[in-house]
Amino acid sequence: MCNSFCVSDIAVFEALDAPPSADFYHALRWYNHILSYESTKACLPGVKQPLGKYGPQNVADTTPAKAVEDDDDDIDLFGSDDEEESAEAKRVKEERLAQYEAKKSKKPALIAKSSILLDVKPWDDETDMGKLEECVRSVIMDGLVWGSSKLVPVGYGIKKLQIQCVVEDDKVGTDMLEETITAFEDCVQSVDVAAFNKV
Amino acid sequence: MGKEKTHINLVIIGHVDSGKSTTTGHLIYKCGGIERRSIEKLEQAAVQIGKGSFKYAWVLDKLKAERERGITIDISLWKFQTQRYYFTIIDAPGHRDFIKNMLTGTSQADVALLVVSAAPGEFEAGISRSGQTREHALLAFTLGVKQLLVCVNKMDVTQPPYSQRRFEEVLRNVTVYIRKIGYDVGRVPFIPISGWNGENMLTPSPRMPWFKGWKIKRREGHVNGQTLLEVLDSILPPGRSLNKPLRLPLQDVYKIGGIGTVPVGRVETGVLKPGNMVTFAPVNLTAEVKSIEMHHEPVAEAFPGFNVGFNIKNVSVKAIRRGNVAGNCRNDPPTETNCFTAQIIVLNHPGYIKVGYSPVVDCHTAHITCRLSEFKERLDRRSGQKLEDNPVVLKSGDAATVKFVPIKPLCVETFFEYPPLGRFAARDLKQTVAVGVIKSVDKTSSAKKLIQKPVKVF
Repeated sequence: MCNSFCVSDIAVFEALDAPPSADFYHALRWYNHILSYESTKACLPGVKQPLGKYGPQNVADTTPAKAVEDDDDDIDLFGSDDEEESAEAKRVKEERLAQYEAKKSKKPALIAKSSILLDVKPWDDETDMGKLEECVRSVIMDGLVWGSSKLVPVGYGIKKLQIQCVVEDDKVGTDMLEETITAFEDCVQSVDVAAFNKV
Repeated sequence: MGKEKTHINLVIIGHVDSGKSTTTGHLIYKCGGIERRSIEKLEQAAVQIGKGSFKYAWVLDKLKAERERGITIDISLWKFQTQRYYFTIIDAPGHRDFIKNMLTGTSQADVALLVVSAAPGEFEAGISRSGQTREHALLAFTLGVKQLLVCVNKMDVTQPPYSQRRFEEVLRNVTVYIRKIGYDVGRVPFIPISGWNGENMLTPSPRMPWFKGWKIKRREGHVNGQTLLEVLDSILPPGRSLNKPLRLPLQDVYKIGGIGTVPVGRVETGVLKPGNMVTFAPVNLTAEVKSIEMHHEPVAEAFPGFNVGFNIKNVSVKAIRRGNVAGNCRNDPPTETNCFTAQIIVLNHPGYIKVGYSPVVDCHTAHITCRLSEFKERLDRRSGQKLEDNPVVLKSGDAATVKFVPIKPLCVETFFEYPPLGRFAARDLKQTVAVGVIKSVDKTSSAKKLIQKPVKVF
């Protein structure tokens, strides 16, 4: 949770249907403070999450399933969710989603990673491939781990370096990798992605 | 050549919790895609520590851990074979750069396998609006991956296990969803499986006797069967790009002492042979191919999919470069593209795109800035029907027909004639802002004068 006023405050605020009693004077002070922002709450930073996501880990969400609404402000890439849902179907769906959220919140958050195989090509058959590999491995980025590598014959005495790496999806992009490696322009002609998979 | 099995790239899409990696792993494991020695080693270890009955799961976890550390290169190129095909698997990551790679990279998909989870709640979450599944499925469709297979996974954990009702519920929902994307649902087979236990994967499952089999209704004849393996064997092979004129986008150009200039690239369509006269576009140079090599071995004929180097006469290494395209000078040689018209889908663009916007276009091995010079029509994404003439702005989610003008010489082709040279990603702000397929190309450049009518070779 953030220290400044943000959507998490609103999420909790909305879960309460009346001000806290005066016994909880800190909570009441907070409640009144948030109440004063009533008009601006629509344009707050952050992404609102189900209530269970706030507060201590490993506590199941005991609030009703309505917290798991569809966020209609999303870029609607596919549009037209126009199927008519009966109230019953909707209730069942939301119940299942709530179950899923509860289960999910107990699992440790997985960091999405990809395994990328790069082809790094030299300029000619005289490029020092050892040095080329050294250059590539000297690239250090947060969320990047170099794996094994091998030299693959191309033809006419030219070899390319095939090198594996594992990246955290949110931290390392293929353009970044390509730019950084081709910056060793004395030995690198080009970089291609040979394989790209989920880990 | 004729006797060899056709090669198919299979992209696997699905929500993070769909169990697609387990399913993929199981398939590869059973179909001999993992080196026997590594498996034996792991299986022995599994028995030793008493994991006998959870052998597969344990081995798959081990392989995943190995993959995560990037130790074995062979694991990153997952392959297996069925009776008719060799498959290379692309387990689609959620990474934002993956889309661009699927469009321009070496492993463009021929068939998509959508994995959805039947587990309570997981199906509902997986198909929700924000899921990557929608994006991947839409892109696969837009980019010409017309064959789609659906696995309803985790049938072992439905309530009750292997529930026919749940399978039918999921099937109904997914059908609506893929019809909206544009797929002809009659051609899409659905198979209830358990990737974890291997039910209905290689052999019909005794736990789902209610399952009467999958069906594909298509012009080329209807097919049906029971298992995932049978579905994979029944897909239609990709079009024979072999009979088309040669197109070979250059990846690199080498200067080799005693040999001369050696361009390297992958044959996308047609055949390259020593003695051919090839034209390079957009630079418009023609040269004779003296010899061809692949993996340091001489090659007499290079077919689609071959990554080759070839030696050419009288062309300086400086005269041609990455992004150029080689073709046969006597059979529809490639030329410079003045401008081209494409159908695009705008993705991830934070604001509005107007005429004059100039992103970098990645198409085959070329990266060239192109100016969007005219918005012809805004379209319905699914039907391709016109919604509006000459729209003023385009935003994320819009589909449109747009004219592009390259600011530097470029050679691209229509998707219809040369698919790998006719799909592209447009990048700006370090992300893919649009993807597209090229509908028409204006080649009326000065280069045209030098070229006679295409002459039929043979």
